[in-house]
Amino acid sequence: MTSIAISTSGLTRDFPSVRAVDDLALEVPAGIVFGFLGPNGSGKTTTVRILLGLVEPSAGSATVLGHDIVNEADAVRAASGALMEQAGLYERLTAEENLLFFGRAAGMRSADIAPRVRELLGPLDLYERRGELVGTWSRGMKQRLAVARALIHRPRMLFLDEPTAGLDPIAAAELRDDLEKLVREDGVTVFINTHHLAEAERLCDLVGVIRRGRLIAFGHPDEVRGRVGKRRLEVVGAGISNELVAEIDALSHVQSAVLDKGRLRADLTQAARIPDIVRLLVDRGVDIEEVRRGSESLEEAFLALLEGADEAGLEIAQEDPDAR
Amino acid sequence: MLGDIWLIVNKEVREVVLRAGSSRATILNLALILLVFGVVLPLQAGAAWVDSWWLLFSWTWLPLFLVSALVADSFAGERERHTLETLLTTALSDRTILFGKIAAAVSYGYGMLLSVMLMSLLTVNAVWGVREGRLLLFSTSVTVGVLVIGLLVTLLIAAIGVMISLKAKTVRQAGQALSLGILAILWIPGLIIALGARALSEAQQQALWEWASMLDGRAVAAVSALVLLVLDAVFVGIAMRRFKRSRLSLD
Repeated sequence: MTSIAISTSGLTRDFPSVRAVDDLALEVPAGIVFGFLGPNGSGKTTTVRILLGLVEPSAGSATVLGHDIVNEADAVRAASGALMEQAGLYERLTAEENLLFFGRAAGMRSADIAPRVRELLGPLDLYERRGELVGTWSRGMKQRLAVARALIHRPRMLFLDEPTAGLDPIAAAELRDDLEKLVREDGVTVFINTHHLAEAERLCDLVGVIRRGRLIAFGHPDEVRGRVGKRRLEVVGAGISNELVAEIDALSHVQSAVLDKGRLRADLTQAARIPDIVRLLVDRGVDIEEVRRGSESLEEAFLALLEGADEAGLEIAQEDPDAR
Repeated sequence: MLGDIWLIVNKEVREVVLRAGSSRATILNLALILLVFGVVLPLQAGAAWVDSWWLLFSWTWLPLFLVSALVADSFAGERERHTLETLLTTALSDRTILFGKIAAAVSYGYGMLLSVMLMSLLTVNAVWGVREGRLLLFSTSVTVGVLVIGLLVTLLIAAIGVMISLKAKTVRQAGQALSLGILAILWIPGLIIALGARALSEAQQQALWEWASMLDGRAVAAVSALVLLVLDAVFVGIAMRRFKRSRLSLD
């Protein structure tokens, strides 16, 4: 049986002018990378703050690694590492002094911190520069050090809030590599806030999509993509006529079909069976050279989900003008 | 808990005192304080320095100025430099963080007070002790008075400063509010005494002065220490009530 690292039920947080988190129900299994996706201001950071016991929920409950986030917040923080929106490093201290401080703050003995510093900074190519003041470093280096800082005490849970935000593409890719390496080696459960869909697609075993504080989708990236995303079929061959394309377009599980530079492109529903379509084409005399199957990217699915949520929100607002 | 408090003290002193500017500027600042209060003033006062109750009593206000920059930075600085939220995500308890910040200011202020005392003693002995052929030492009552009242004053300003810094958005804002507070502490009692004295007749003033000069220095010190102790307890208590992780994280 898989143990649950994070469990929330009806988690809600109200601010004077806005409901930042709205009735959030989540179950994140231990040992996986969970991606929390949403646009800016959707409630991702507030959720992490609530889970770390930095902000009290207005309603609902949650546990992290079995600890109640309100009554056992100290235990949650002791078992967790966090990299919030800012790197949060002391720039007038050296990299080593930073890690020593946060290691000791997590209850580690000084003697245990030194080998851990080598273990963490070595693969990041920062070990030789551990004696330098952090303020003199580039943003990418600081962010990598911040990841090491969050992992210094071997936490069982790691919260990352937009870890690659503000980094150039090369630094972001390096950080993603480092993250993957460190996280897989330590086997921690990771809760990562991001609006970088490629990042989520690459790193995450499970994703949740949040919009205006509400969870609108949850599952494996493929599953989330499949829920709203269309399946695509592209056929290259001789003998594809407009009449044939119209016939395909009229099939019940085909959303649309077009002829594009001699190729058939069709958007399919989840229920469509590609072999049936290929058989139909062969029966109609098409000389098939290539059949390509595709699907929408997570990004397209994400946008479709947000669009859907907005439409639903509009309907609610129209039904009950006082609802907000 | 003591180990964790010391951890914060160490970090604060390194970050805010020793590495706030260049190392040359830091050494120069510390040397200037020692020079003015540990050499120049004792040289002006002469051998009487070690016997003067009132002169030493006035010294206890020295930490007030020394620690103000450090306490103004305590939380507002962390907020300004975007390190506060990370500090709050650590396993350190609320009390450890708060007491660590207060203890850092007290350690620095009180440490400097002790250094200045020692320096002034060396100065007085180097000039007048050698001349008189004897070791000049502070009297026990003066030493105890300065050490106790100095500590309580340092704790008071540290607690008030940390309390202001908890609320302030920037270090500058905290520093300005704290400076006004220090001015109020120093000037308001003086103003009240001056205005009160004006309201009295010359004979009444004379009688009051005679009464004041008859007061026992030790009794005055003891009462002052007691008042300071109560104020310390009140302000540390308020700071503890104001320190809420949830409130700090949302600022």
